[in-house]
Amino acid sequence: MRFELKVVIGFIITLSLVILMGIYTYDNNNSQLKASLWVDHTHQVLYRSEQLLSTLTDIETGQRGFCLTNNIDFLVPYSIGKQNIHPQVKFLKLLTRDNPRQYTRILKLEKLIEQKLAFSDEVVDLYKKNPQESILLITSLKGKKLMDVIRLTFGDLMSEEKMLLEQRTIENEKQIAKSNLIFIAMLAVTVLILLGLFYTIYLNLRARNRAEQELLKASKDIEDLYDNAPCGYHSLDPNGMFLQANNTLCEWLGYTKEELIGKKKIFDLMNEEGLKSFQENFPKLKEKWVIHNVQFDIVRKDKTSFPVIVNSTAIYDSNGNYLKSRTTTFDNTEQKQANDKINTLNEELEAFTYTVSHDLRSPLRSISGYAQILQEDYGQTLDDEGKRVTNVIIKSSKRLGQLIDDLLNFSQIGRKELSNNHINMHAMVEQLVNDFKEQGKTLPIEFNVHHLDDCRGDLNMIRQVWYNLLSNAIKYSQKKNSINIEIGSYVKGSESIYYIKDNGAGFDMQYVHKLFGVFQRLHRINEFEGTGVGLAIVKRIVTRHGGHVWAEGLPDLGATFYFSIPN
Amino acid sequence: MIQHALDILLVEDNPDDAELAIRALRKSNLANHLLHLQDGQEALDYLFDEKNTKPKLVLLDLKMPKVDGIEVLRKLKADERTRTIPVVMLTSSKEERDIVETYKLGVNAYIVKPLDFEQFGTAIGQLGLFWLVLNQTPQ
Repeated sequence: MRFELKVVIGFIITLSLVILMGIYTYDNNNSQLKASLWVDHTHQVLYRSEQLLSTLTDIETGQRGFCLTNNIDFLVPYSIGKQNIHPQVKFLKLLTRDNPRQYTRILKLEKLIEQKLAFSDEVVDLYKKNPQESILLITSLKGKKLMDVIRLTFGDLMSEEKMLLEQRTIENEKQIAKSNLIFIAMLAVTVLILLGLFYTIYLNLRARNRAEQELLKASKDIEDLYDNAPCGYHSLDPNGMFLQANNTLCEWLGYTKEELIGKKKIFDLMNEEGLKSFQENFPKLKEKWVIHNVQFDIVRKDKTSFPVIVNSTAIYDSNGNYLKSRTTTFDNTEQKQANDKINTLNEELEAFTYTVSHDLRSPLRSISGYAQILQEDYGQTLDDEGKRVTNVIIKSSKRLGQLIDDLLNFSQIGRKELSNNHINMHAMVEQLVNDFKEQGKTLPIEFNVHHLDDCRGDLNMIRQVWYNLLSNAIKYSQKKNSINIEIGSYVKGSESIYYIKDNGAGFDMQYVHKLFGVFQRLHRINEFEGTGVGLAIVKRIVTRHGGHVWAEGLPDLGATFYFSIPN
Repeated sequence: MIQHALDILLVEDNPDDAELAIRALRKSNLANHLLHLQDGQEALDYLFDEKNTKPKLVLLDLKMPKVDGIEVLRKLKADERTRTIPVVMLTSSKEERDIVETYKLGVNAYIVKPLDFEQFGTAIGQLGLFWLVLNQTPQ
């Protein structure tokens, strides 16, 4: 159950119990009050009965005293008693109205009291007239008998009333005990529920506290990561003002965060060249969301500078308004040094190949040219061996020339910048196939070109790849009676894979690793011509496009060459 | 002073290459009015001397000591007097940047000497025929 629901239900139960306890207590108090009223009532009946009896006794005593002493003083309690007794009887009647048995007794008593009073009056009156006669009347024991009946009736009345009192007291005590028990039980349940609630809330609070601690720790970890990452992070508002920057960037720049955030604009940290680059790129950032690998020199607080490479994303609010940019900055010093070194090396290499192409080819042409002059001008005077040797010189220098050309070609492909064109592969291959068909009309070649996926890349270079692979396939199939070349492509993952399959000389798979090396050949020169650079060029072009090359083959059964181009 | 007609001015520092070129031109009967100079400075001296007859065609090697072919080309094409002379670069290597640079300077053709002497002879022959016979230049 959810915590909130638990708490609400717990409180509802507790509240209900408290209300119930209130109602119960109120009700119980009422009934106890009633019970004690009844006890009171009984006490009162007893008290009033005793009072009545005492009044009656006073009357009796007064009457007797007077008759014995003829002292009029004795008549004072007698007449007071007579005065009081009627209201007392009336009151008792009122008190016992609820109890018919007692009421009947009271009625009986009333009659007896009337008789007794009448007798006493008779005695007193008679005594005043004739004391002797009154003595007679007294000794007739009529009064005593009457008084005995009255006392007996009072006894009944009071014993019943006492019994009632006992009964009511016991009942009252029972009621109190019961209500106490119920009250304690309800209190206990309430306390238990409250304890449970308290425990639940405590657990929840503890869990919350722990979560809060963990959150705090996680946020500290993230902050630490942000601040001490091995690259610079910062955010800029639309005006280029620093909104945030991490420690790494601050350390690189020599500023404190306080000096940077809200005080410096990114433009303040740029030299003229950087400003130019930024002006080109920052509006772009607002439009394009992302800039990649923009390089410029950033100026430190001490006015020295170092090269950085930055990547930015733009952040927009929910309405699509540009809010700020978020940027990672990498120290590009080492990279730049490495690049400079590579550039220097490249330049040296270029100078070298340039020299090679000029200075090596020139004497080579002389060798070939003069050997040819020898052949042309002195052919008649040379014997057969002389002619053969001259031919070897001419042929070898041609081959050396070809090797130099191929090598230069190969090195040029590595240095040349790649253009990025959309390439209709199918059209390109169809055209090349047609060219080959026209060139090799004598050869019965059957081309089977399946659908080829388009790709992006350097048009001329990719054409070179197909040209080399096609001429390779044709060259190594020449000794077959019929040449079948199959070309196709398929998509695998994020790459398009192209293949060209022939039924030519093939190769032994144990030499497959040599296939794409420079000047590596798997066939003797007198079997198949070539310098061994064609496939090396293929590999270099494909690799520069981010793809890779591989081949499968069986001796005498043909070969399949594959290359992939990332989409 | 009446000067001999001059068809071709060959500027080539390598005597072997020069000999082969001249031999190839001779084969096509184009070497009758040919002047061979050995470096760029000589070529500039000759071409900017008013007394000398202007050639109908300059065959210019690219790589030469002192003043190289590109420098000669630049000066020829920058000067009103020599701008209209057709200049053909005749060089050993097909280097993209050289091709681009010479074309920017206004070269009329750029020929990579074939290694094979026969092909070289054919190329030179066709070249001479085109520029000396077929092509019309302003008088």
